[in-house]
Amino acid sequence: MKLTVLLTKPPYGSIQAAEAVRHVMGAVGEEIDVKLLLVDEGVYLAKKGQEAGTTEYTSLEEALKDIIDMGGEVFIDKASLRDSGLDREDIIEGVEVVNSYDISQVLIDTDKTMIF
Amino acid sequence: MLVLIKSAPNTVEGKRGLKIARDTSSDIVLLQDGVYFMVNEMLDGYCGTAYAIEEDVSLRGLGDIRTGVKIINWDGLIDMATEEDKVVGMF
Repeated sequence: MKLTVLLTKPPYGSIQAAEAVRHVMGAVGEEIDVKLLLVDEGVYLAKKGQEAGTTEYTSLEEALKDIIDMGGEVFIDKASLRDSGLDREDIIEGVEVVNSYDISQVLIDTDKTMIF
Repeated sequence: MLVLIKSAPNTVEGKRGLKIARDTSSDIVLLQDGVYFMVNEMLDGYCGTAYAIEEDVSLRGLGDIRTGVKIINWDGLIDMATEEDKVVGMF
């Protein structure tokens, strides 16, 4: 079963990004073929240098790195990256920059899609 | 007047907050996802003074973003809010 998780919301301001990460991590743990697509303001999840400091938030940057270390595939939309004012150097290693054609192919090829 | 914006730029609330600040020549404070307005010259054309909450900026990894936005902490926001005659928010 192929699962795709599509994140459209930025981290921390709402629960969406944290839930997307939690679901992808669970799927990777269950060895489900899962892909995480970051589009629109979801691209901020991959921003380097997120510092939780004294906020008591869990750093979602670290969680995303864990997903990649566990073999999860993470893709980021090139147009959304540009619209969000970010470059390849602003995001963490292991995230693949793709275009909208690539994204549509992933969505066509997948069995289930979850949107956050 | 001071306008508080906590919503991301790509939201109706975020856009409305910035528009009202422009129309009323108010200063703005960006907090939570509102700090994403600091990126990509989204505040171009806005003539008031923009402030952003330090904790929300660093949490989101935006500490390296160089803009004209003044970084303040929560105490600073409280001082500003008490000194202002009118505070509108949060968008």
